[in-house]
Amino acid sequence: MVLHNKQTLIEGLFFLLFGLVILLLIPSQIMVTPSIHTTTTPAFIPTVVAVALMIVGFLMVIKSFRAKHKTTKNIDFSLESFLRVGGSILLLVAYIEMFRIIGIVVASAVFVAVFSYIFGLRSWVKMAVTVVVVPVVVWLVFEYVFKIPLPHGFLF
Amino acid sequence: MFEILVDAMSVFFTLSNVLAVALGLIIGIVIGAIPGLNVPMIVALLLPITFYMDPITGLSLLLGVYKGGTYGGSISAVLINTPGAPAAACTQLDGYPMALKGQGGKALQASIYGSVIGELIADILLIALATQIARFALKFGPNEKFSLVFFALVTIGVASGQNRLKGIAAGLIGLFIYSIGIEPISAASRFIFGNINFYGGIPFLPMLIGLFGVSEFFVQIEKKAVAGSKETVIPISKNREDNVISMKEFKANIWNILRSSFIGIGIGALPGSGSSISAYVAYGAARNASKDPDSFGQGALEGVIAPETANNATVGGALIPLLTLGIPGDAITAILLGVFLIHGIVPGPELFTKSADLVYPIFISLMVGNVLHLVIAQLGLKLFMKMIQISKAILFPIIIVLCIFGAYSVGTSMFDVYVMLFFGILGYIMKKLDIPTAPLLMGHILGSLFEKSLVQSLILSKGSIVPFFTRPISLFFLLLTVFFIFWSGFSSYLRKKKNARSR
Repeated sequence: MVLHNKQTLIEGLFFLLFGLVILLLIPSQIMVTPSIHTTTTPAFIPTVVAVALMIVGFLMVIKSFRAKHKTTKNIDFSLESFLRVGGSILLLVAYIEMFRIIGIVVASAVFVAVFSYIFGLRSWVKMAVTVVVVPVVVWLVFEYVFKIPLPHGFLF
Repeated sequence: MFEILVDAMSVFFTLSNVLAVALGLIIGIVIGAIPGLNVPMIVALLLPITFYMDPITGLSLLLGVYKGGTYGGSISAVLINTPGAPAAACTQLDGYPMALKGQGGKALQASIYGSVIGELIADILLIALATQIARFALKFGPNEKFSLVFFALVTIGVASGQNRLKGIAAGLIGLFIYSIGIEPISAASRFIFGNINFYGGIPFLPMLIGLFGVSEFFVQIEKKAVAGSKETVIPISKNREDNVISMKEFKANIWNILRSSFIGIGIGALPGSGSSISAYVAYGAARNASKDPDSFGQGALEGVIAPETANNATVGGALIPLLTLGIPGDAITAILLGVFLIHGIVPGPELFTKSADLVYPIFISLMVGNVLHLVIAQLGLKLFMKMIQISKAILFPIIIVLCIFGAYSVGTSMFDVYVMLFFGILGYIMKKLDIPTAPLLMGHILGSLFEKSLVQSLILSKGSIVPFFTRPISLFFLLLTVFFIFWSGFSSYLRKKKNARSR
């Protein structure tokens, strides 16, 4: 699917909606405590931001209708790129969750292998070297040189 | 002043500080040279490591990366016709044709000399002017501070190329992100959603790593696997004349270098501009002043020297408002502002009184960086040429591991890692939709000063906005903002008219 001159309209509507959502959230999400000053409240800046975002969104919607020419730049939203990015987000979530179970060093080794394969690395020797060297060097630098405690799991 | 600098030298000259500058330059040049990697990304990745260093050492490392990265982009621009950094896109116009003619070595020499001289002039001006500007800025009250931040936020949004509305929206979203957490004046909670992690606000560093590191990882992973392919690097000629700049060529370019330096410094000092713009402006000015303008685009030496001098002079220029007023001009200086704050240094007028023991050694590190830049860029050229060819299949998995370790190490918290992932996804979407990330970062980082100065002004004036317009400096910044908006709109109108006529 290729989106072209509808892009500004969609973005404008998004900003308009985002500003509206902030406005609607303010009463429930901003706890106003008794204050020494009464000129502004903690809701002042978020309200200004929300209204300004709605104005910007509205201007973008108008701009999208007034555009005489179709935009030349297309946004590629192919299924393949969606799957690659979506899949890598899921893999990153799995990587982060695996810290607690197998530890950050072992989890990093596993995911360096997975990601280098996705990026197209097919040399097993290079992959093996990367998988061992990268997590070990980073672990040594963070835990021993900079004394930062890292999460360890049942494997390491 | 001279005595202060001598004292600063004795503080700066330790082995670790000099090595930090050299290491920063090497990392910056390599990262700048590799297309797909950028300076904000690597500064974000190195930032957690600098937590555990002495502030002068940590900042020297990052300033070295900033300088090296701005130059490094020219190596790939000249040799593989792909700018490693956006600022080098202009260098490519004449650098690559020079390489095709067998003069790649000469183009790279021109780039090194231009970059180092541009930086040197900018750094001297920074050192000479910074104290004076800061002394003047000490007179700023909350009204002036608010008007200045307002000017910076509006200009960076408006200056976002053809996407002004998107730039402004990004800045507003940055302000909204800043507002999450505890409000600084009354300590009221905002947008906590019942999660105690939000009380401290959105952590700066994980946000930074996500916006600049993880988002680029997604951009690269989206592309099809190309591990076996290597960039074709045009070899350097063995003929000495093709690799060095003669004294005659250098003399012929002195005015070009000086002009480009001042263009770079001036544009760098303006919020929202940055090195890419200064490179193109200097290129245009060099072409207009040239005796042979038709040679531009065909491999003109002047066409390499001008953008390279200007883009590195921008580095020093951008540090002037950052250090003296606490106002960053672009994404990298916004990151550096965060770095200074993390190290307990508050950029702004009081920097030179409260943190003089740190700021002057940093000036020395900038000057030492210029000398080391010249040496490292000359000696390491062959190594940097090889680094361009490093496989992304190895590079990006390393980067994602560094992102994860870096985000976790900030507060040893899984929340920070998820914040990084969230901003990685947001940064990726913004890149896909052509929404600039710099205004978002500026909104987040300047939000506190914006809100505090606004509320303080209103408390002092009992709710009246009149003092914003009656105090001369405050009025000056507000008028400057209005002028900038109109000028930007007018120049865009003229451009559209010109395009329509040429069609």
